[in-house]
Amino acid sequence: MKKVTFSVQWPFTGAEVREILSFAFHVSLVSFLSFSLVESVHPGVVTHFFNTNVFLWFAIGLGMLSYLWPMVVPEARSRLKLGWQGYAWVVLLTLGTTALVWYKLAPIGWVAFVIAALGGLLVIGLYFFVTFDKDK
Amino acid sequence: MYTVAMRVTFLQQHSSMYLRAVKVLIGSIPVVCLLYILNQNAAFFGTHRITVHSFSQLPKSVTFAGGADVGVVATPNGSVTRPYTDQVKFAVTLPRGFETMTMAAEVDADPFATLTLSARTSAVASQSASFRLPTAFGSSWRSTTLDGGRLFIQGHENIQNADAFWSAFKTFRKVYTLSGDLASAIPSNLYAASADLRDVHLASDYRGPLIMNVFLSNETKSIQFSKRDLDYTPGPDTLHFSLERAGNVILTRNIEDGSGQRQLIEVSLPELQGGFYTLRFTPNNEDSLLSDVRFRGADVHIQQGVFLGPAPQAVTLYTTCSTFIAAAAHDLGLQSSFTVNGRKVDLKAVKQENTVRFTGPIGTIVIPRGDVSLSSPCGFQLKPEHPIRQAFTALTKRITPLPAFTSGALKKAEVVFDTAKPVEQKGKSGYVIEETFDLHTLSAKGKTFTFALESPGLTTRPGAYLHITRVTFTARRPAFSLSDVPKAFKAIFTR
Repeated sequence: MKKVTFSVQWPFTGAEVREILSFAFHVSLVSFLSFSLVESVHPGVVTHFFNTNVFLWFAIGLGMLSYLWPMVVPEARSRLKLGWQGYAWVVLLTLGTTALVWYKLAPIGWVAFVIAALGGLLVIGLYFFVTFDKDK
Repeated sequence: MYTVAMRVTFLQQHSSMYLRAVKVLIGSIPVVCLLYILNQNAAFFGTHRITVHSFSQLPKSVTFAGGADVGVVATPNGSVTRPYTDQVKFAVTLPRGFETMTMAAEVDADPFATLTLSARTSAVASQSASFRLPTAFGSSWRSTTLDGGRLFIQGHENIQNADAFWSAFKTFRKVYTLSGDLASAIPSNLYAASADLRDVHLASDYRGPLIMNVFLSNETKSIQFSKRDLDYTPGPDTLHFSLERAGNVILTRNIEDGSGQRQLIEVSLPELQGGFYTLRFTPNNEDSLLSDVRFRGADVHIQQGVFLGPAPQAVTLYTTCSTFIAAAAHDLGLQSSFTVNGRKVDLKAVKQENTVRFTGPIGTIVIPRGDVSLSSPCGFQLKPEHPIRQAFTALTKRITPLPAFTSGALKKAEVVFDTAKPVEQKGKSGYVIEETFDLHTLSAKGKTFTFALESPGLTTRPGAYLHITRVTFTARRPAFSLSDVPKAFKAIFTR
């Protein structure tokens, strides 16, 4: 009689597990920041019904896991090239950051404009840092 | 033929698919959270729910101090632990489009509470539902009715009546009472043969209210008294008499004006059971004169004070307090001095507040003439000793009065007295009561609704309390209808 056995094969490689952990970490962090942003604009809209700290706990835990997961040597990345969508994204991020910083700091007066502008410059600086990284 | 190599190849080919599936799953979590939050705020799925956990974090609310305990009532011995109210109201302003509102309250209440959820609008329309919580005592407890109230006994199957209970009293380890009025829990047969029973005669005239606590035995077949109209002021007057036990009115009599003639009233009590009672004489004005109160009993204790009539007669009273307040009815000169504990006290010397103070218990007060009112925080006795009450006190040292019934106390207790007004069912802690209100029926869509949680008698029933753990409001309307969120939501604790 033929013996039939079943087994479950783990479908992911070490690099993929690390990628999943990293993705979950990013989702948790972005979710927490997004809900916090909404809450700061309209207090009570989120926290009266949902505890956003759950995302923060996950972000911390997943961040630690993704860092501790056995390092997999990544393949050399191709040089980052931004199309028009990339530039549009950078502009959007810059404007969003500037507006957000100004919104939160508006009560302190004209200094808020300066700090908001510096925040926008910081985003653009990060773009240059990522795009023209010589080590890559 | 299926080989290991083929399986590895299959997994490698589909690995990216699994990876995408996991990423989609992870990415959907915040999306679901977002939809939930949106629905709570905008109700585009037709349901809007507001949960009140702590009463201090109501969305768009006016918060009130006092937490969730809305009812902890005073006991007869005067202890009040928290602010109390019969009713907690929640005012909700809904836009048009909502069809129903479900109000669910998680509550803990005393065993005798009746809870009512109600909805009202500014119009007359209203809807309500009353709840009585299931038994708190469980199947291992048995209820025995005594003449002073009810008795709940655990683990003593042979106790079928009051006599059996008292004979087994010393075997109980923990005995609690839900009321501070321990005296009313005494079975009548305990003092049936007491030598302290006598024919009590209050010969003085009393113009004001007279409230007496007294032990009446089975031998007390009637209470007699007389009423007369002084006619100091024109017009009719009446005297209201009530016989009460443990807060329950046994009988009442209303004696109308007799046109100045003395009326003799006899209240027949053919089947009176022995025990501590309250006799309450309440005239409608100071023209009504009460006198010649007669009954068979013992341990007469006058609450608050007495207002002696105008007849010049000596009255002897006893009080255990160190102060009393005296006031003459017409002219201070008419009643200028008392003999108190063998010492003469001139009222003119203390007339500023008419308060006479002693360093220790006053004891005997001899009042030589009438038209004077006396009051004492301890009340007055007709005899210096209260032998029946003293015997009762010695007997009931094992009893612990509880201002409020708790599950913790129930676990320790073997016997629970309940001298409060009996109701048919008892309560249990931690229950959810729920009612759905039809906003169409209320016929005032788009206006402010008042949802209330009430517990009638919460402020008057000894040992009563109500603790609200959580209140949830769920407003529903047709899914995907265009309607705004509730405009206002506030909780109002009302006294």
